[in-house]
Amino acid sequence: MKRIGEIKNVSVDWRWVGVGTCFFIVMHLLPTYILFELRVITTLFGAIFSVWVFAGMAFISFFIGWKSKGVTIIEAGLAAFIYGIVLMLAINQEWGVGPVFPLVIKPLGWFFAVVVIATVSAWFGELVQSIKAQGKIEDLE
Amino acid sequence: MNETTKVADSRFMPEFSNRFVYVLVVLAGATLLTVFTSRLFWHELSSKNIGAFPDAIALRTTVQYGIDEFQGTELTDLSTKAKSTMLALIIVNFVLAPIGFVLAWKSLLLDRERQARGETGGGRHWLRPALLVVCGVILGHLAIVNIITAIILPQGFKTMVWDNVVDQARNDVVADLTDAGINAFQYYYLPEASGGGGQSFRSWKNKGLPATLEEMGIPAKTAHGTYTLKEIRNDTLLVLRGISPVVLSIGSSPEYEFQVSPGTPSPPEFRVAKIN
Repeated sequence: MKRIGEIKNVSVDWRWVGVGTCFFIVMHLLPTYILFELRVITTLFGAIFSVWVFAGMAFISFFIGWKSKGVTIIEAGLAAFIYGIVLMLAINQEWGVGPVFPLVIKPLGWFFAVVVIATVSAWFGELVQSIKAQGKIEDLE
Repeated sequence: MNETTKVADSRFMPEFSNRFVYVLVVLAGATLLTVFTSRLFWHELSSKNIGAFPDAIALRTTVQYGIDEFQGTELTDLSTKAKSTMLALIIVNFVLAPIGFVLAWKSLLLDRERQARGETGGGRHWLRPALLVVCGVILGHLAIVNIITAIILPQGFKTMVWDNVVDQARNDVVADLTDAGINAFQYYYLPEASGGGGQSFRSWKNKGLPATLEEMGIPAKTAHGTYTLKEIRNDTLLVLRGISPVVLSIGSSPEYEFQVSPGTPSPPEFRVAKIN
């Protein structure tokens, strides 16, 4: 049985990096774009918008960790990093709304936060998957 | 059992079906195309901003032409290059992409049937899925853009109609204030014996008191607004205030001040100041 603490040979499943990035784009960028175009998101700037971004990324990373058959913690982090670039370009270059996070956290901190949140969330996803696989989910409930 | 294993092996990813991965990739591509070309449409129309929204640009240009013609303003013409780009993009988006998508889809289905019969197909197996993805991205992007546009457009038209109502209300108040100002100006110059102020804004009935709107022949209320006398300063300045009954989204109403300075011996002056 796979256990998270026993990863010895770290290899990256690039299919999951690609598909994970697609998940981020479809499940987060698309709703963000729609909300932005419908003028809903302009009222959310500040803390609420940051929560929307980071909570959304955490949820998708959790999904990647939980859904994959192998251990995909690094893959989720890499996908989140790529998506971080896409989101930053989309917001800074295209929408030009001056979002809060590049100003407050700065790009380096932004990428650090994105990767850390994605990795931790994916780890939780793997944990839930592992517990479920061992039939211990009933004990938790 | 063997068949199940075979099906699982043919998947790009064991967790998802190939169709799911295809739809995901197409949706992601369509989202990226939409997000990174959206500003081309939403910003001002110019030859650079044709982008991936040729249908919407064409619609917008037609509406703009209609408005320009109605208002009698100069038509904003597009360059030949912009027009040809728009035409080319309309052909790509609405003719080539759907045809390519259908052909690639049919071709893939035929390939599967051939494989099921045990026949081997021709080369370039990557071409059809690639064409399917590219055409799918274009069509998916069009779907996203047009759905959003369909949601936004009615709101945009409502805003446009409301803006016209507010503009009309503002014009009406200013027109009424101008009429009132002319009446006040006439009152100023009319001799007291004829019911005027005799080079003064003071009442001809009650000496020493300021003239009322009624005395100056100014209606306190019309269909377009309510008017008050705000200030009379040293018989050289009269300030009227007009408020429209239309309530703006911020809660207040369009409001203007109209200053009348008879200006003896200098020329008379009329000034309009927007308050709200």
